[in-house]
Amino acid sequence: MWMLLKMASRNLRRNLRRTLITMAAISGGLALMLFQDAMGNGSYQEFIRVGVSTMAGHVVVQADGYLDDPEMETRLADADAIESTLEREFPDARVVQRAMVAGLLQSPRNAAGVGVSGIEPSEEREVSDWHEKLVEGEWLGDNPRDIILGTALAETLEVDLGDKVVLMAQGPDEVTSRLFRVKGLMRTGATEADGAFAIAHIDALTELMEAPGSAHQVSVHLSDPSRSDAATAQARRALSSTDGLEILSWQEALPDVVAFIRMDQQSGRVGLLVIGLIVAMGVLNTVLMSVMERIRELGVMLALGVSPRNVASVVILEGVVLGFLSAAVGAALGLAVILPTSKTGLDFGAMMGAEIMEVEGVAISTVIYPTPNWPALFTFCVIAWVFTVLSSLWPAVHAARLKPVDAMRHI
Amino acid sequence: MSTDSATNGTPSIVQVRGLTRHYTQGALTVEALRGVDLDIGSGEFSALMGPSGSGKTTLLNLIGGLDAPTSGSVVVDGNDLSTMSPAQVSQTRLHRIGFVFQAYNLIPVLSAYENAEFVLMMQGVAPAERRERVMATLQAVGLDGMEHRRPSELSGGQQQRVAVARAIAGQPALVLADEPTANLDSKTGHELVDLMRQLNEERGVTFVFATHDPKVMRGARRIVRLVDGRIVEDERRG
Repeated sequence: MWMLLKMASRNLRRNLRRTLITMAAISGGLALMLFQDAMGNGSYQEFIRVGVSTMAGHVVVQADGYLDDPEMETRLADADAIESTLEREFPDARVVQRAMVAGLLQSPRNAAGVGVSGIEPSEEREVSDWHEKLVEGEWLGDNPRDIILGTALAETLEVDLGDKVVLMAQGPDEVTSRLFRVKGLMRTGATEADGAFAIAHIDALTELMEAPGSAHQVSVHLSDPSRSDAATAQARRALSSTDGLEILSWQEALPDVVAFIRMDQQSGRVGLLVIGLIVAMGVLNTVLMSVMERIRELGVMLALGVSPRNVASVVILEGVVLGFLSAAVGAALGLAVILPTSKTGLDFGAMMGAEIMEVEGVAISTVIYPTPNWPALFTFCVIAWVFTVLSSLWPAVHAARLKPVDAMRHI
Repeated sequence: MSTDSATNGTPSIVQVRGLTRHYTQGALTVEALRGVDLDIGSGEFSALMGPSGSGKTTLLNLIGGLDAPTSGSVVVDGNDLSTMSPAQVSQTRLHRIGFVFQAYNLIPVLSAYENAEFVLMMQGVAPAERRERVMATLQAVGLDGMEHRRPSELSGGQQQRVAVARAIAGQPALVLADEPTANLDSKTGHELVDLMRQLNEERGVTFVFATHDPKVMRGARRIVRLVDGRIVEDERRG
């Protein structure tokens, strides 16, 4: 085997230019795959970060049934008690309460359907970046009369800072309403957030719902997102004595986000597979050419009594060595691009003409930080290696099936 | 092995009986061999001679197990090739038969040492013994000091010497050489024949040539002439 491996390595050097070109194709294709995967990973992480921080949490506690049917009446009656329990369980995390009301927001000139998120203003600053989206005015304080509108919503309602608006919503028995004053305008870049979304103090919304002290969601925001599953299990244990709750991880709370990422990953991987197959075809052609050039030599080996299996092994070992070296170079190339850009980020804003891009209703930055997914990176390298070896199988079988006498007559 | 009068009393290394080989080329059938009987004894230095198309190379290939007969049998060192599977024939070639080809046919990426060592490695010979045998063989063919040269760094005569070393390093029962001097100049060809004669006399290596080179004829102690696929003359010399 050692002799065969030596022969295989030296055979690759016989036509060094061809070997290097083939290596460049494999390693270039692999580097592209790794970079694309890291870009996707970075985008997904940003997408998840924004989605989790603004719409859920790493652990989400809601009233049972709220996930499937988010009605205003499906509330956590004693949200403060739940919040206290979770703060004791997760002393290093942030715990916030939120309420959501869908209704009609009216100004003197116009009206628009809206979703209003009721928050604890100072706690909310610690977990989401709504406050960074302000373009005019100020963030909410303790005054439950203040409201922040999306810029497009404010345009629709033809209101500005300091103007009054009235929120009307369906209460338990009748339509209720509440007066707010516009304290700030925000622009997220997401159409729905800017055109049909507002933020108010949670106390204002629970008063509107005639359910003070309640909330629709109590969420835990961890400093280490990888602990989400373990934290969810911990929260379930801590709240096991409280009936009528659904305690969800972020994946369970944001199924649309998860589904989108999965679908995007799958379609991305199909594209990568196609690239891989195209490169493999090129490698097959190269290895086959190399075998055809050596038919006489392979015939001599068979004539000397080398078994067809060993003759095939020489060709396959060439694929093994070529694939291994190409995968190593491809990984090095890919990481040479990924690692620095994972720190600096890649700004696609100029290309897109915007600082924000909207993905499934979530506004994320156009600065993407490629993030290596190490198990996936390793898998891609192994796949590149395996594809190269597989590409050498057919030429190897062809070599093993040569008839020595005919092969030695080959010119 | 059997002792046969056809081998002048020496044990038979090769026994050929009723050997035929037909090739079909389109509608045409070519009878390359038409019923050949031949015995080759241990230690012989024999030449198969004849014009092009006489069947000498075909006969050599059949003795070497590189081709299968249409009918008849070939027994090499007690192994009946016609009853063996291709894998068994391959093993017999590896362990019992050495080959020297007209075009040298060395493996270009291996050095002279590694080319000579190649068959021993395939045979599974231990490293220390391999080294000893290869060095001794290269010395015997006059190539000591050139072990590390690749074929492209050797002359035609030197390459053919490496091929001879490769053929005998595995200690085969016989060495089959197909036109070994055809690509060499006269002087180099003479030297090669003298070398092989010396190996035959000193080490008892059995050589069978397919050739029409007069140099080989002069060195051979037995000449088997073929015409149109049949043996027409079998001359032994003193």
